[in-house]
Amino acid sequence: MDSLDRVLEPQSIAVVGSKSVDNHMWLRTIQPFEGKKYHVNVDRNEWASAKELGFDSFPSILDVPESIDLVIVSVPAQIVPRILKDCATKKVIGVHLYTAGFSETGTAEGIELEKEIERIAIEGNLKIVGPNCMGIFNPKLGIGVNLGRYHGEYGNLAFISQSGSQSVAFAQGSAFHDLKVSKLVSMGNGIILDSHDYLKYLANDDDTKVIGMYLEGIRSGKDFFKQLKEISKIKPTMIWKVGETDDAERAVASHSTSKTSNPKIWDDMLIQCNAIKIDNMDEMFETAKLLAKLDPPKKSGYNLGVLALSGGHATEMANVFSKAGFSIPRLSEKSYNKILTKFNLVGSTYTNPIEGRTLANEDHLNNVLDVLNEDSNVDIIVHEIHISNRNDKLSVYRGHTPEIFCEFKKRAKKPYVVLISTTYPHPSPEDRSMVYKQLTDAGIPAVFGMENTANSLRKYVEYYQRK
Amino acid sequence: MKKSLTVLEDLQTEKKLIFNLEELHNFFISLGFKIGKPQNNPTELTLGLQKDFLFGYVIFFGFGQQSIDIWNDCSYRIPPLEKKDAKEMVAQPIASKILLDQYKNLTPPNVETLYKAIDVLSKLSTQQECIEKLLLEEIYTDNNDLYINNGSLELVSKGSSNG
Repeated sequence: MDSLDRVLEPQSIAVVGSKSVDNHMWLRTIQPFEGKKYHVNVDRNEWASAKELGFDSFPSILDVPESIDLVIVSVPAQIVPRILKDCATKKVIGVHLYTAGFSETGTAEGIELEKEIERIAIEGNLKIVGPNCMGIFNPKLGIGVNLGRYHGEYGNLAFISQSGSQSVAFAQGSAFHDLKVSKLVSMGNGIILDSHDYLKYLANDDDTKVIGMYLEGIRSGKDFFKQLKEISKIKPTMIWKVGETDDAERAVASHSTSKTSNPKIWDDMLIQCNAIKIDNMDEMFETAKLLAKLDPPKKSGYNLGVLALSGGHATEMANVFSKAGFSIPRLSEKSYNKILTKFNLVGSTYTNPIEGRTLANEDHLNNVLDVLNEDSNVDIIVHEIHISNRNDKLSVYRGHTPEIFCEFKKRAKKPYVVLISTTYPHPSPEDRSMVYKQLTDAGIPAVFGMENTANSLRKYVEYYQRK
Repeated sequence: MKKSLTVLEDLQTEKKLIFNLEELHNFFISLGFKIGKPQNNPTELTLGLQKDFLFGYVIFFGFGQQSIDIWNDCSYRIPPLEKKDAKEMVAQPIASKILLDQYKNLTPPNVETLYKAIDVLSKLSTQQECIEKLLLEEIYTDNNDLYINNGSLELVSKGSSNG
């Protein structure tokens, strides 16, 4: 087993921390973990409260009777060197340093202390996650559950972040979007394990299909470039990097002391690696949905069959999607002939985009979906819906409920994407959640908003085109 | 390439770091360029090699220095480059959509010749570390021939840790 496996998928964990400081936060965050787990604290007055949480306590790492894969450290910065020396003596594999107060402070003391712990870690062969970070969220094993607030269930989306708050938001957002993560690492200052080390690990992680990263800067451009180029050949990797303007660069330097390259060189590096440039968290989730749930397009992916809510939406969709580089082509004559066998021309259009009153008829709608499914001019089907509820009657498209889309998904031969319109009036959060869950449970990627859908779909198509 | 490296070694012995076109004739000829501008009303191109503090050497391409300086319309790639990379970097600038085909009375560049020039810079980047920035500011193709009409070279200052 690779040593990073034992850091991110440990079989035993010890927490060095104090109830008086954080109410045993780091014990609570691994409470569901079913491997061996220990509490380490010299103050025996805290042992009883740790026992109540299911942890045996020991005065030092060296007193723990068995081997330890991962140690979580939440102690004042000045004590960290001593703890790390114990970890090295104990031959611990990995250490998550939650503790802050190192180079990110910009002080001479902090920088010096970081150099000292880096030296101890290198000499002791310790894989350090951090310092100054929220560490590991592994919902499959029940580690770091304070980040995502779920465990047991897990998905195929990994996230690596230099920011703790972005990590927490992503972990919880993943549940909101019903994507769920495989592994998440808040990597902080990254003194030993850097972004490229995590990429290398995730390339071989069977639980991970899609990767996202939030970066402020990187330490080793050459290593990062090499790993990103390699991993993008096998797994789509989305990079959200900040520090692209002078002001943002100054903010980044003050937050994580990162230095950044010319943004144009960075962007072109992503193109060269076939990595996916992302500009915000919502864009990352919407793009991840498509990458995680859809197979690669069989053809170019740029030719769309579009089902719109109305005439006005059809023209808007044609505008938005064609500006994003897609084509909304004419269908074959055979397709048109088949559509017209079950299509009322009054108040409806059928050339592509397709919309209109006639699609309130379930048989007509299914016929159009089946035609788009067969037409070789169409690579991907995009279906716009709007969630509404009148007199307790839910409707997502011309009076239909989501079941008709879920049924079509079973027979879809090409990527099928639902665009959840964000036009007015907005649905209730309850209706939106219910419909969203129904669609995602059926394996349909449902993206919020027209521009978002066009933008994310383009990133999905471009990734496979360039692969 | 061996001859180019020898010329570079000679330049390093001089008591200066920046060289202009006239001082670089031998160097550019050793890289496979002819000096001057062909008579076929050619499209102006710019190629370069520079050190980036994060990624080491990067190669850049654009349609003339003005379009790079004003519009940032260029492409960067990290060497070593394969032909696929060269093709993508030539196709990437917005100007490529127009200037790679016939535009007004300009002769479009011979892209195969351009790919070879990129390959030369790619190889150069892997065989020395003394170049800080090599700017082929005004280059042209004429069938299989490459011409340079303006360019400069900046060497790494001794004792610099850049790169």
